[in-house]
Amino acid sequence: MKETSDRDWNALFDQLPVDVIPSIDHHLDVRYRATEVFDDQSNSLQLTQTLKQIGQTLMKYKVPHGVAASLCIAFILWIGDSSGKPAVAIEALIEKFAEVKTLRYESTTKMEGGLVPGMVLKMKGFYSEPGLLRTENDRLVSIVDFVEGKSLSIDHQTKIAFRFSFSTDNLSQDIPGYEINENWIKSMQQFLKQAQDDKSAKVESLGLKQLDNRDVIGFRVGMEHRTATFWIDPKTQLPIRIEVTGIRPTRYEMVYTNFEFNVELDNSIFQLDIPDGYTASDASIDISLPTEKDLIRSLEMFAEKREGRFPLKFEQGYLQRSEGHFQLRVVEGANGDSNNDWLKSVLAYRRGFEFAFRLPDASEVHYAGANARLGERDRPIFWYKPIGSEAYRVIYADLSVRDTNEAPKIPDAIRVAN
Amino acid sequence: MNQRFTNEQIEPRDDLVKSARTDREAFGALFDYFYPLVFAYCVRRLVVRAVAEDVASEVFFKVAREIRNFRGQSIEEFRRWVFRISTNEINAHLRHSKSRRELLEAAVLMGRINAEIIAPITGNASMLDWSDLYGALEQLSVREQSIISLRFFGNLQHHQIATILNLKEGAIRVALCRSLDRLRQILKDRRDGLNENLYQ
Repeated sequence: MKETSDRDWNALFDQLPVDVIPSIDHHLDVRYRATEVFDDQSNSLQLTQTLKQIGQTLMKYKVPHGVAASLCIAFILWIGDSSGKPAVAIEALIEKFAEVKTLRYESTTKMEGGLVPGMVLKMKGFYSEPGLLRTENDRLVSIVDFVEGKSLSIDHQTKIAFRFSFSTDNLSQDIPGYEINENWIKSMQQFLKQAQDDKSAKVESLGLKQLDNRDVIGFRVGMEHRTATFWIDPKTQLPIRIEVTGIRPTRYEMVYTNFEFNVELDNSIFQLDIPDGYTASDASIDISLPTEKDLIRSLEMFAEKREGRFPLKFEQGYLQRSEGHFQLRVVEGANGDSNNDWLKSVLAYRRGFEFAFRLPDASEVHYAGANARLGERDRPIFWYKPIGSEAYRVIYADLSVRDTNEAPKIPDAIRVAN
Repeated sequence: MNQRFTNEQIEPRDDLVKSARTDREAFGALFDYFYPLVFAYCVRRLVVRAVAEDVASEVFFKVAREIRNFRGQSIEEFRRWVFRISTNEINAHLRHSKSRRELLEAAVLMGRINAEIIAPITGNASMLDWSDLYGALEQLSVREQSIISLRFFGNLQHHQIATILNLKEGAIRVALCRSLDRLRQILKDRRDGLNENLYQ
């Protein structure tokens, strides 16, 4: 028998009775998901130097809160005896801590996720009454005046100075765990009160140990989203080292060392003047509590950037990476935003999701927007139960909101972990 | 009516490959061009449309995850890379007996092969079904299946297949020829077996 030719086989396979053309819906669906994977992989690694600078600048706003929280917890622990039960009135401690007028410290922060995953940030910090904070390293300086509502971040490498103004008028205490406050000391006191009421806080005594040739008393406290280990000098009753691990805004570790309390600080280090030769960029930011309205705006912003799709996942890491992509596009001028506008956009984008993640577990927060499209009516994508309410607030894919007595029953809904 | 996405675009320029490592729009453009090709390759080999959709999707999720590490500079290199991933995904899928059974069951529904088309291959206008062809493919080695699949389901040239499978072009020509001979023989045996059953 003669050998078959390529042409014969081609003729055979050309007759295959299969439809080889993908549907448009399927094509677009896979395109969207593949692009999400692409973003997920690339954002953290590909952020431009500009984005690093932005990320670091924005991250400064976390530093004072973290320190505040840590020190508050330190004092809760300091008053505990070896069994972890309070031995001294917390009110008295709040008062004692208020005696701290100035503070110097060093911090090392490791971020697992966020804009630049794996980033290690070493900073020196300075605090002065009534609400001045400066953090710095060789490249970056951030100064915040919580009383005046002003901030300045300087990048020595790029010679860019970001100047922010912000309002604290709308600060509310409705949501536990929201630590932003105009006064660093006051925020510590508030946190202390909050921890005092938190019956779920777990306190573990680590006993007396030697640290850097000094006797220290160690304690570990597990709060809702944070575990902190404190090493207290029994002579001064002040912390000499604090180690904090947490999951918000991403998994992180912070170590605070070299505390110096009530030291003399030159007020000039808190000046908000832009140095000569630096390019100024001004912006206003809103640090009031984010609201449901902010969440709706964030969802809308996401969908507008993603062909009408909502987030595939409602997880902090995922949304932060999306944020990185969002920032990248803005920085590149894809939507024609000016420098200040993009920063406002980024902050607005971040605020809404922060609202969702700050809701307590009791709010039964759910998300079901992974397969929804912007504008779909009567399709619930997010719902939660406000504190003290029996009804659910339900956000639909057309971004309308309604109250319902029962939670929507959506098969692919996921419980949002805060 | 179900809308379709046909690939009638002009082949992208080489510089798109480099851009696609960092730029989502460029990645999307590459996707738009190659997805229909990969889907066609998968559905011809796997027959079941839903399975082909899953496998083709997985191919591009892998591409999306790995494109930053892809060192190729040209569309041609990208094509080979994507088809290598596709071939590996298809083979991985077909390693499961359940998947093979599903394929053959679906192939049964494809019915009879046109006698005039199969005649030059098996020697006469025999009665064979498409399931016979897919069943015969199953009897080949994975490498033989890959070569035939890339050539006839993926419509790739010998030199492209050679690069994908890390072989010399000459070796591919020889291997393809032998694989097709084996396939033809298996089909012929099937036809003879069918005929024997028919006249018993």
